[in-house]
Amino acid sequence: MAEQFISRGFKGRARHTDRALKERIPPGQYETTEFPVLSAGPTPRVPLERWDFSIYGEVAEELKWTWGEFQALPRETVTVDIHCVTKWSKLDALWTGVSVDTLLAGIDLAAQPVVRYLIAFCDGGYTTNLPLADVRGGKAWVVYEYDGKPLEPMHGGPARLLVPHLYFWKSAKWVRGFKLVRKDRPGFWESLGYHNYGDPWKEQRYAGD
Amino acid sequence: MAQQLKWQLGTVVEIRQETPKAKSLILDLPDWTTHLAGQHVDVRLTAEDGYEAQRSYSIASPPGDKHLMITVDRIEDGEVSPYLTDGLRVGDRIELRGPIGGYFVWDPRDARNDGPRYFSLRAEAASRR
Repeated sequence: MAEQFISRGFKGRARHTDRALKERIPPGQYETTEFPVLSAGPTPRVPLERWDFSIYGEVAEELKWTWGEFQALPRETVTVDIHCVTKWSKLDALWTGVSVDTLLAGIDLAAQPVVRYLIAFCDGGYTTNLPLADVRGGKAWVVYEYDGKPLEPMHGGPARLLVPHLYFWKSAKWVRGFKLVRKDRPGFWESLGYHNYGDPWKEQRYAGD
Repeated sequence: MAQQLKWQLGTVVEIRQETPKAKSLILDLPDWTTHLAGQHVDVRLTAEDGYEAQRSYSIASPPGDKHLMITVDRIEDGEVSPYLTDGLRVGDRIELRGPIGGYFVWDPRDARNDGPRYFSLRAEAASRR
């Protein structure tokens, strides 16, 4: 819109007086201290003894971890801000899990530079696509604890992907593995009108944004 | 590359009280073709200092209607819903864009019984912030 439209009489909530906090909320988002639950389908429940995490696709050898093996991997605890495309943002969310760097450490990615994307796949059939560059270098984790407690199924437990610099649908709940691919391919929401990349700071909510 | 959903200014042509807390806004839009039942729109409010708030609302009117309807439930401590339910008058304008979403939708060609679906759609709209 060429000229900014002002909504007559709209004041909005009290603004953050703390400039640093205000600058952590991307455009069009509002802060919540709750943890809203949104999902496309029912919550899958997989017993931990049948849970595993695998990396396959363009890899010399498929990698697979059982729940116990996954727990034994080096863990990191991170405090990050998360931004859902439905407009809520949550600041300082505390997560514990395994860095995706750790998971990919056994794969010689330098030897196959044409492999540049991954598809995260999940219980329940959900998928989301990400450039490999966006999950490497300390930018993404597979987390199994939230706020110091095991991740609840409704929030994606036993384990979910955490990619805080993109809209939260990229942080797939109930994640079970990655397929490494050469060619980008839209995942679930990315095929249904949502943006392929999803940068909240550029407000890439929907296809075409 | 898909075309960007552009913000447009809708004019409130009617306000309907649905329940003590919920009102339907019937909007005239300059550029609206059609939608699928279950899709939503994003509403954007802008204050005088440039501050903006966005929320999503389910589309409550059936596809093909001349006007677009959203039903808004007033949340007591809400930021946007009290404005939409109490602040707006017929003739006021609000910015919105859509239709959005390709999953929680129904195609009438697949429908065997539209009644409950229409009802659930209205209920969903009413329960949404």
